[in-house]
This record gives sequence, structure tokens and C-alpha cells, in this order.
Amino acid sequence: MLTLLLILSLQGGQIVVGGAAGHSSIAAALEVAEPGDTVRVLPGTYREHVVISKPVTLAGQPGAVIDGGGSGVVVRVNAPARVSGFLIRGSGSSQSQEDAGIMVEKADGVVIEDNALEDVLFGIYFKQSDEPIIRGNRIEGKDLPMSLRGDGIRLWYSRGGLIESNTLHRSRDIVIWFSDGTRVSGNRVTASRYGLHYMYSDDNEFRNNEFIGNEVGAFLMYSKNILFYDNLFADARGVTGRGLGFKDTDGVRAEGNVIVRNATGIFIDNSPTTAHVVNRFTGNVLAFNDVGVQLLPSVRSNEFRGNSFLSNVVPAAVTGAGDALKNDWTGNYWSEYAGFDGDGDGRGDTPFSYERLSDDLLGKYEELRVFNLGLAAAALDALSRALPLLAPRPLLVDSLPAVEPVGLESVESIAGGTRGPLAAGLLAISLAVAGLVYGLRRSVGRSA
Amino acid sequence: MLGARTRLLVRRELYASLSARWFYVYSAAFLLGGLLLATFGLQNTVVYGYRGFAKAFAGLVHLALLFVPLMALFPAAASVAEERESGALEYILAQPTSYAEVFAGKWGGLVLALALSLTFGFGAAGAVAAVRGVPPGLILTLYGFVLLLALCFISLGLCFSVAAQTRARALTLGFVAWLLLVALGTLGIIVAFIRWGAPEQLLAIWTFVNPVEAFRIGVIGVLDADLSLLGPVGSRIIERLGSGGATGLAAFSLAAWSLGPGLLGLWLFRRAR
Repeated sequence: MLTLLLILSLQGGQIVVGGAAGHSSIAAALEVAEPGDTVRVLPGTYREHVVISKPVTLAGQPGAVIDGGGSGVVVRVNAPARVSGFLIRGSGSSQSQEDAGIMVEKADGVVIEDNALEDVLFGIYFKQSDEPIIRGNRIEGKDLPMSLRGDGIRLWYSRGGLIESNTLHRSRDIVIWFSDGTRVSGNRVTASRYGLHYMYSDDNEFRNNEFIGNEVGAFLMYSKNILFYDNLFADARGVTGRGLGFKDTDGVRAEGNVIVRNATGIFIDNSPTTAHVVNRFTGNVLAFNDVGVQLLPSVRSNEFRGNSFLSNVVPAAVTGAGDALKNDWTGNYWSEYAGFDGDGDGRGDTPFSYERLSDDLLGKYEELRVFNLGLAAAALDALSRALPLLAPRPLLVDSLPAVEPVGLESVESIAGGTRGPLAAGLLAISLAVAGLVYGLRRSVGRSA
Repeated sequence: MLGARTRLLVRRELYASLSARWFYVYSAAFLLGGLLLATFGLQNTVVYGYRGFAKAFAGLVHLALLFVPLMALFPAAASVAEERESGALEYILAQPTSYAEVFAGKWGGLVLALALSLTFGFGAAGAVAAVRGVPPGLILTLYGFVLLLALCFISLGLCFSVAAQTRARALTLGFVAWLLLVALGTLGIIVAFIRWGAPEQLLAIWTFVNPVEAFRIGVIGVLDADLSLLGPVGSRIIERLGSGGATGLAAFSLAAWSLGPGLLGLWLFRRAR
């Protein structure tokens, strides 16, 4: 289909919109366009709703704006077309009508490339349209409360897609539902609800994406054979904040991802669902999360090997009662590990066993997390260490813990001098106080 | 402005504190603990440009929670009771000075002494923390809350000192209060929640009513603006108060604890004449 479109576009003629000699509207140009034509739109603001029903290329010159005036779908595509180079803005705000910047319906091989979409409810919406290509677009949703926003990108029953190098800000989600074989790479999603909201879609790959400051980085449900490579999931905060979540998902392979400063780094619910299927997490960095990995009690057959768990408040937790011992935790780096490597093989000589009475209680009673980082929790842990009778069962055991972080190529040390003046100032204050006390002491001595 | 007599009494109390062994023992312990934690506890790594201090900072918060109430409570609890036992208080009150001036002098002198001690220890630990990449705002907030916490326990200690007839009783009262506020009270609330299903609101109220917990909430509020570290209760606190509101209420609670027991102590002191 793509090849056919390419051939058509090479053979077709050119129709110009705008300027002295061109058509006055895009609709008028599309009316006369033949399949394979390129409709070239000159700079200017075109206040209209565009419907593309022919396999054409609609190419905006820099400064070409299509303005929907705040109603309906701005550009509707019903044929294997290409839309590129526009600023598309001003869709309607109706959720029931699914008002969007670009809506593609029942048209395979459509390419949406290098557009900017602003003030749109849904950004780019593909319905029952296979082999979509969504590349290099910038999408910014309407300034609405989260519950009233639309999705930045949505694939609905659209297989074999490519979502590449797009930037999304303040939208709801990237939604991929009932859409197998999609590749998602090099995108950046910020200040949205779900960076990626994903259901009933198999054999998909996610690579080099950045999900930053969303309520949830990515959440995958009811799907299988999903690959995650080298993505960044950061700053998903709030009580339901999760960097990466799985529910009923089989055959996950996650490698080289950085999952940092989320409320929960990785959340796993009933995944994998099938016996003999393993979800593999290798070479990922989980750092500075409130909880590194959180599992529901029934979760089993997840393999965490060669990951770095770095300064998470709690490296792993199980919601409710139970442990995570039916998952494989071999060869990870744990910043809590207090063992040593006597034989120099890079592995600790004693297993890493994670067990804390306070975490055990906080797992069962989430409300008690309000006492996190408090002395009461510390006292409980000290008590359980002193009285083995009170010690909870281990939550997890790593028989070969790494003594150095692994998969941490992008870690830098803070340059010592960056806070030099502040440090010097504080030290000076400290010394000045010491001097003052000494002086006061001497004056006391003299008056005595 | 303080009157000349009160200034004199403040200076007297400050000099007495600077001559006491506790001042140097506590200062050294706080300095050493702070330096050790800041040097070995704080990660100086950045992952993809991200830094996280929650866990590393917990050590410094724990140090402050443990030490500052002790540093403030015991010298303050001993202060009036000790002078009453030795007869020095009678001598001072025989001078042309009021009970309020004597009480204010004791309070002011202890506050200044403790502020010096904490600034000395905190300055050095803060310098190391700053080199380790902890943001200046966080260091200054912790320092501010540490001073507020010290004020609370000085007031509380003075109140005990006035109320108790002997130094030993005052210190015992101080120790019991320290145990209750630092750990046992919270453990009791946890037990009540687990065993008897105490309402969730009790947890939230306790975190602001107890000055030690209020200190923790205030500091965490700066570290984690949406309090997601504190789970669903933290989230509901933010829904009600907003992110600045939680820190503000924590500071207010500490201020109230600084004022309330202080005024009660003054009232008891006047009444006791």
C-alpha cells in the first residue's frame, strides 16, 4: 500500500492552495485533485474543516495553518493519504463526537508527518486503519482538566503502525488498543495521564521513548510479546504514579530502561498469566523511586536479572500479604546490600535477602505509609532485628547480588565544584559559630 | 524589645549553657552524626540527569528527629528545677525582676545556646550535603524545621521544669515525653489502626498534632511536593491542603508547640510563687 502511494505521488500533479494563483481553500483544491496529486498549501491560515477522500499528499509549507475554529474534527482522512507540514489547531471539545486534530478512519497506509497540533481534544486518531505512520509531530492538547482531555495519539484496531519521534505535551494518553505489531520509538510524552495506555495488542516494540512527569509512564494490559528497550520512565508521582505497569501481560522483555523517581517504578498485576511464560527484566535501572518494584501477591514467573536497584525508598514490595519469592531476582545490584565480595568475582558472597517489618506492615496497610521515613518505622525494624520472633519472612532473595551497579552507563557523578560556594558558605557559618562560642567562653572565664 | 533585665538573664543562661558539658557533648554528637550521614549516606550520582534524595535524606531526618528533641528537652527540663533545688532561683527572684523576665531569660538563653550548637553541626553537615548535590532549598528547609523543633522541645522542657518539684522529676517527665512523641505515640496509633480499625483521619491528625511527626511532614513536603511518599493518606492531605499547605500546617503546628507549652510554663511559674 505504501509503495502504491509512493508511486502515485511520484506520478501525480501539483495543485497549489493560497497565493494569487492558487485555490482559495484546501477543500476546493481537494475537490479537483486526482489520486496521486500533491496539494501544496502556501503559508496562511485556512479556517475550514478538511476531508481527504482521495489518495493524495496534502503538504503544508512552513506557516500553513488549518484552523477548525473550535468545532468538530479539523482534518478527516478516509483514503491512503499523506498529511505533512501543517499547524493544525482548534478542534471541538466533544468527547462523544471524538473531536480531533486529525481523524483517520478505515484508510490503510496513511502517513501523518511533521505537523504541529495545538488546542485539539484528540490529537491524531486512527480507527480501523492499518499500517499507520505517525512521525515527527508535535501535539499539545487543550488546557482542560485531565478527565476532560482527549488522547494525544490513539490507535484503534489499526495494525502494523509506526509511531516515531513525536512530542506530546498535556494530552491524556497515547492509546494503543486492539492494534498488533506497532513500533513506538523516539517519542517524548510529558504532563499527560498515561504516557502509553495499551490493551489487547500483541507483538509490539517500544524503544528509546521518554515518558516524563505523567501520572503513569506506561500501562500495558491484556497483551503479549511486548519489547521495551532503552526507554526512560521518570517522575510519575501521585499515589497511583507508576513508571511502568503490567496487568495480564505475557512475554514482556524489558532491557536497558531507566525507571527513575516514580512513586512506583514497576507495578505488576497478574503477569504473566500463562504457565511456562516468563516476563524478563534485564539491565534496567530503577533509581530513586518510592517503591522499586511492586507486585500483587499472586504474581510469579517474572525474571529480574542484572538490574540496578539504586536508592529506592523501598526496593520491592508486595501489596497485601505475601512475598515475591516465586519470581527470579538473581544477579541484581541492590544499594541496600551490606555484604562483601571476598573472592572478587563481582558478586556478593552472601545472598541479599530483603525483609523489613515496617515494609511488611506498610504493604498490608497502605494508609500506614504516612509514617514512611519516620522513627516509628525505624524502631519497628530495629525491634524485628533484635527479636527474630518478630522478623517477617523475606520478601525476596537474590542469591548472587552484584556488588557494583550494572547497566548504569548514563550515570554521572556530581562535579564536586558545582555546589562549592554553598558548601564553603555553610562551612564558614559552622566555623564562625565555633569561633563565637569560643569567644563567649573566654568572656565568661574573664568575668568569673 | 527585650528589657535590660531580660537581656541580662538571657546572657546569664547562655553563658551557663556554654559552660555546661551537655552543650559540647550534644554539639559534637550532632556534628559527627551529621557529617557521617552526609558523607556516606548521600549518593553523589545522577541517573540521566535525575537525582533522588528521599532515602539518603531520611538519615539526616532521623538524626534530627532523635537528637534535637533530646538536645532541647533535657537542658530545658533541668534548667529551672536545678536552680530551685540549689536555691539560686530564690536568689534571682529576690532581685528586682519579674517572673516573666526570669522565664523569658531562661527560654531565650537556651534557644540561643541550642541555635549555636545546631548551626555549628548543621553548617558542617550541610556543607558536605551541598557538595553531594543536595539542593540548597532542601538544606535550608531542614535547618529551619530543625530550629522550630528545638523551640518546641525547649518550651516543653521548661514547662516540665517549672511543673516538677525536683530536677529528677523534670528529667523523668522529659524522658517520658520524648519516648511518647518520638516513637511510642506513633506506634500506639499504628497498633490502634491495625488492631481496632482506628479511622484513617486519626493518622493524618496525629501527623500534624505530634511535633516530631509534623517536623517529618514539613521536611518531606519540600522533598516530595505531592506527598506520594506518604501513600493514600499523604495524597488526601494534599487534596485538602495543597502542597504548600501541608508544609505550612506542619510549621504552624511546630510554632504552636513552641508557644503553647511556653505560655503554660510561664503561667505555672507565676502561679508557683
